Amino acid sequence: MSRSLFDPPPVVAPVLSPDTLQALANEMLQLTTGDTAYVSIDHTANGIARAARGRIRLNSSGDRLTVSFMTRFGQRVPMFLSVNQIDSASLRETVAYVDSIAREQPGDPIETAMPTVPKHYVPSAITFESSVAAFSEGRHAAIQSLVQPVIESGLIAAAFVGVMVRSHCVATKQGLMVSGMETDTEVTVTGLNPDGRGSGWAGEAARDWRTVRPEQVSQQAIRLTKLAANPQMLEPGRRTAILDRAAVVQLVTSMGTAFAASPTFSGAGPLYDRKAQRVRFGQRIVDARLTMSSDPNDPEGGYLPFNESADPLVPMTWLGEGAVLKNLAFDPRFAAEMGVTPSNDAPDSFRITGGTTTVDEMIANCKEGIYVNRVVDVRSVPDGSGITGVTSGGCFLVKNGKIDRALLDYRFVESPWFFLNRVEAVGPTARASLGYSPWYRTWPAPPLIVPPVMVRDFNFVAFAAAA
Amino acid sequence: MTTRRQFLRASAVAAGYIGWPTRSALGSTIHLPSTRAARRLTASAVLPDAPDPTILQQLARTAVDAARAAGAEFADVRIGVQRALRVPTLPSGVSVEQVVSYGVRARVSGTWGFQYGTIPTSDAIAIAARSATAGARRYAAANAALRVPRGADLAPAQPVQGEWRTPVEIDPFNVPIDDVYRIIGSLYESTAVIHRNRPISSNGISWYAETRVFASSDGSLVTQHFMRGGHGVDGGARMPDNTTDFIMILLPDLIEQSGGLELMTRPDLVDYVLSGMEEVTRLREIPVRAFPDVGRFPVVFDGMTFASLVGNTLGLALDAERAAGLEADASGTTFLVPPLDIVQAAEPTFSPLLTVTSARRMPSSLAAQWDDEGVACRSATLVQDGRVVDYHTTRETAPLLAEWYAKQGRPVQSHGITVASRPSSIPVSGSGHLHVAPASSTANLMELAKDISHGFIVRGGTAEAESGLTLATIRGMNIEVRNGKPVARVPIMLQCGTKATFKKNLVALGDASTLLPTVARPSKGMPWEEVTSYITAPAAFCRDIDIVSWGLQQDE
Repeated sequence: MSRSLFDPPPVVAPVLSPDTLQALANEMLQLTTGDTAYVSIDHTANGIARAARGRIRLNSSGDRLTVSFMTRFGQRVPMFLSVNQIDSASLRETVAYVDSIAREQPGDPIETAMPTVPKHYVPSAITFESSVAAFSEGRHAAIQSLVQPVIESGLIAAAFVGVMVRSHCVATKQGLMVSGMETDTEVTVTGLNPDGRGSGWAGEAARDWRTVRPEQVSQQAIRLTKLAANPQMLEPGRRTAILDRAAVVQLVTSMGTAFAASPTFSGAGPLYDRKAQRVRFGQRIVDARLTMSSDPNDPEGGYLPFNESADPLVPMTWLGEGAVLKNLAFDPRFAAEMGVTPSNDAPDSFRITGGTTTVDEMIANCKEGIYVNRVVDVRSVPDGSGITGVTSGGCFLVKNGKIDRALLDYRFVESPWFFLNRVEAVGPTARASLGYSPWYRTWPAPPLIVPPVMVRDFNFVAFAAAA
Repeated sequence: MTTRRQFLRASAVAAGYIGWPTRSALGSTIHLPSTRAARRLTASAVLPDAPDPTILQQLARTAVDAARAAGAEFADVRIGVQRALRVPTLPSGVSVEQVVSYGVRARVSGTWGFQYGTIPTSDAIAIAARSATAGARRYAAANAALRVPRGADLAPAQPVQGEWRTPVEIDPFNVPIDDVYRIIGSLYESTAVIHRNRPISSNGISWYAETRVFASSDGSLVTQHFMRGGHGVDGGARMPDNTTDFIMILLPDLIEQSGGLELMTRPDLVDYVLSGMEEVTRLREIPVRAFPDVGRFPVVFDGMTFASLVGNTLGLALDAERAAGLEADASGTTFLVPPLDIVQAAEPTFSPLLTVTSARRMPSSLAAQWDDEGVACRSATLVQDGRVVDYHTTRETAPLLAEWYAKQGRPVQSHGITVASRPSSIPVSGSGHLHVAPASSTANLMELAKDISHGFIVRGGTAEAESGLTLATIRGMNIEVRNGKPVARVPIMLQCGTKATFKKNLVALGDASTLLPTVARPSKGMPWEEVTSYITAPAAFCRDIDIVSWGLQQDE
């Protein structure tokens, strides 16, 4: 179809298309003389805008491309190589070079864990043209929208806008070819009162840039920052806590790994009943109102439906109705051993659902408690029994159904497997922004869709900051 | 028993290598299988030919020229070839890699644009430079629309030209990989035989080499060839006891340093590792017990723990980027603000026992001649007898202290600690290699603890601070002390206020014999990147350290 002169120009992605990656992968697989071969190609571009002290100070962008290639002759030891040059001459040279070494390797009795050709990949739609466009245009306006209202409110602003576009492809000489593309975006604002006492944080993250509302994020940060002025001391202890999404999301990130079947069946983790000496299938794990699931097509998140081994990632309910343990993630080898289908990865992207109570309603129904907007610096405690971190970006005393005053931040020690058993109320679920989260290797972290919760006896152990 | 001579014979490093076809591809990672054929290769032989430094220099000039032509008031570029060689214990395979990348930074009206990439051609890097400049110009206009004053001028830096190379005796990339295996194998086998068949737990040997070219529109053009490595990325050796009581002590001499493979062929290596294993055995004999109490106790930190505490609190608090609020939405802020008030305070901010310096000299793995802004690396005193006298600054943040420097009769300049983790990373202020001066009077670890009626010694600990750096948690091997004697190992978490600890709770420092190094890997930026720093500190005796109970119980 021809384009009208009045149509907007086409959006050009800052990365190679999945089709192009497939063509590159095909080219390499046709060049190799190895009996088995594997190619993984990843191309990721980030566009970043940052502001600090009320000044937009950095506009950064770039892309990284990696081509990983493996070839193997019969039962000989396989060879692995990664390159970042994709012209035909380089690829030809690369394949010939790896083949020449692989051909000379001695025999290896151990079977190479080659990806098997799957019957089905769930189609996923996690690429949005709006986000691709935001890479080159939208983020620039957004950073101004984030910062300007905060400055005009007489507060000090720090802000971040990030747009990621990624394409990925995995292929084997045995006929497997799977590729996909994803986009992700995040905006965050930190407001600080001019006297340096009390800050407010707000953020949103979305695959689809159209759903990100920088103005609203900015207004939320302003509201929280003003509320956070002149924070007071309140003795730590076990108290009712209203944990907003930005707090919950940091607290539950580690839960996904607990669903790995192999360590659970060997007796490790919270999903193994040590007394009964069996996996807790059929048992209620957390509050009965909660469920936990993951889906490559989650409308608020989702992920590519294959992993780096090209194993399909399928929709899975982990905690079903009544918060009962329904499934564990069996990797292909362990699944075969146990006679289980389908295999899956332990989720690093998931959804927790359960209620409709808004945060305002939680506050209104709270006689005395602490509202926590966000937590940061979350780490495991020395004996591994839980996690510790500090409240940040808005922590308030709630008294008789109202925000009473701003509080100094706390250190807490908790476990999601424990506090999600002390739930008083659950709110509506939405994707939560993580902001600065160096516990995850790179930005952006996989989408987590969580509700705010009100829990009793949350374990605030100490003040987070010293005088 | 394996003798030192046997070990040396086994670990002797032979020069020369068998030839192997080279390649022209510019970036690659090769995982070599641990077969004999592959192990006869040298890392250099299996890696592609690296681009000649003159090509990198030409590309760097192209980038700077393109940015200036596009209107940048200032531009700089880092372009480099990074190589890594990781040799684990057998039967795992070797990994060798080579990556080329660059990052161009352009400044317009005090606003930065940055563009990074991996295609090292003149066209690609010129486009990146123009894009960085356009990005900076765009946000400079946005700042003008917001009526935000333009950013301060960068601190001046002398244009520099030259070349620097880490002194290396044995290039690990030019010896057969088999020889590196032999070093690890000999160490492993020697200690296993001696130590009741309980071998050391090893991460293997890793080495990193990089040629990095820096150029700026000020006229700087420098080329540096770095090489660093050691026994594992973090260094150290550890001995597994059993699965429930795992004792690990890091051996400080094995921590990553600048230099070649000669660092791993020292004659006393086996004896040195064995002495560490003997120490582990002694520690094992101290019983383990639960410690449910909370409260404040006197604590003696060994050098490694105190170094971690300094590096992850004070070292970061002296970061002028934090002080300027540039990290407010990322790694955090600092309590040492405003910097001019802190450096000119009438009273010392910290205990007079505390003197902290920063440098990037050999043999530190951060050793360099120039930093990633082309500023000559200088030794700097940051805290002198408890007084804060300087901060970690970049060319952008050094002007924060202009008034102080003027009073001191010093030029406004950073002392060369700006780092870009990779050539394609945005440069940020690091902290160099921090050094805490030991006490001049004699005091080893046990002497510091001799008067403790009830308290703790913490060994091999690591500290982590909240984002404002006022409070740190410490975890390590905690030894309960009663009447100056170790009585139990206890799994507890300690917490201390940074200001109080370094101001009034620091009672005494150990002597030079207690100096130990550690590595800190804090992250900075949004998106975040690790900024490695090294810290050397003596043991320290502090009072009023909190013992925090985490006391979690499943209530359902």
